[in-house]
Amino acid sequence: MPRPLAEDPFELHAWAIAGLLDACEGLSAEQLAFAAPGAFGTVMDTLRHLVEGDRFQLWAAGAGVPLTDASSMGSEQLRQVAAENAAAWRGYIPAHPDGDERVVDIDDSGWKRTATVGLRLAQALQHGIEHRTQVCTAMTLLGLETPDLSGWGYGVQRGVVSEVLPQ
Amino acid sequence: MSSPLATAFEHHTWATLQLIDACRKLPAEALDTPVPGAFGSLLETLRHYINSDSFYLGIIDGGANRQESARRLGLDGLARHAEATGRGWRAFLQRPDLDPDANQHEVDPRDGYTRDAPLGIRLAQALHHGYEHREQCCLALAALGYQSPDLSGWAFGAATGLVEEVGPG
Repeated sequence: MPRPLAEDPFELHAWAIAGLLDACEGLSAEQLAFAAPGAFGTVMDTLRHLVEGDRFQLWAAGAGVPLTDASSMGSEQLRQVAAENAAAWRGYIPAHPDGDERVVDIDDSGWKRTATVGLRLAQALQHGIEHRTQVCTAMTLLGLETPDLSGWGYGVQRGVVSEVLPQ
Repeated sequence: MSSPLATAFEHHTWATLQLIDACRKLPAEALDTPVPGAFGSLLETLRHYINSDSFYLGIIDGGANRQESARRLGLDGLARHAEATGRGWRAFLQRPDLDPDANQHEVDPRDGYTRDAPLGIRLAQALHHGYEHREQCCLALAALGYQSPDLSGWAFGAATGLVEEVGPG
């Protein structure tokens, strides 16, 4: 029985969030306070939202994790929550192989949402890449080098992608 | 029962078509304006990632849905191109027993460049690439002073009935 197809996109997702947190580790306070036009907010606020939002997607999908407030977290705490999120996705995906399965979440205010597992995974991937791209765009506008967060970068680092350039 | 990843690729295609629709409302010069921090102009970015998407699919499905290059297409042509690629993703992801660890070998006939990568990584890269460049387009729209469309999974779910929300009370 092959592994679930969704495993690799979520391994990339977790690897890219960790890689972005690493890349932002050395940024100055001024750089972390910079916001690209149209982005969620400053680099720091976007990193916090990226990690907190990923936790929300897991909670709403029924992964059995508590919500977290990342609004005042520093990089070390964000890294820890991101690692917990990665582990939770790793458990969730093989346990939910049917994209048509409907999962219900109800928040504290009584708001009820019913959505398929497939849609929840799509939303989680989109949310992650959207905000990582916002941070990378901010870094580019600041004149900084951006990390390679692509599937190819992930595959090369994992040792499962190889390229031979023309002679 | 469907693969959870099939919905992500449906969302991927839907979001591209929404983005193209948003771009149809712009003056022509806005489409060609280079945007700092982005891949290029809106039109260049759309052409790049839509062309790449069909290239990725072509490696994965062995060219079953091969199309002309998207590198010179206008918005209508790009929409048709993206729809055709979307149909290709749908057909491919319906195949049974897809193995994410199955290696796929590609060779660029122009210069001999080769890449070996398993299917799972290729699918991850295709989604990443599309989502990344669509967000660059949304940031470019904002930088140019235009409203960017809601391309989230929730918006896709609301448009397709995959999500239902009921307020309190």
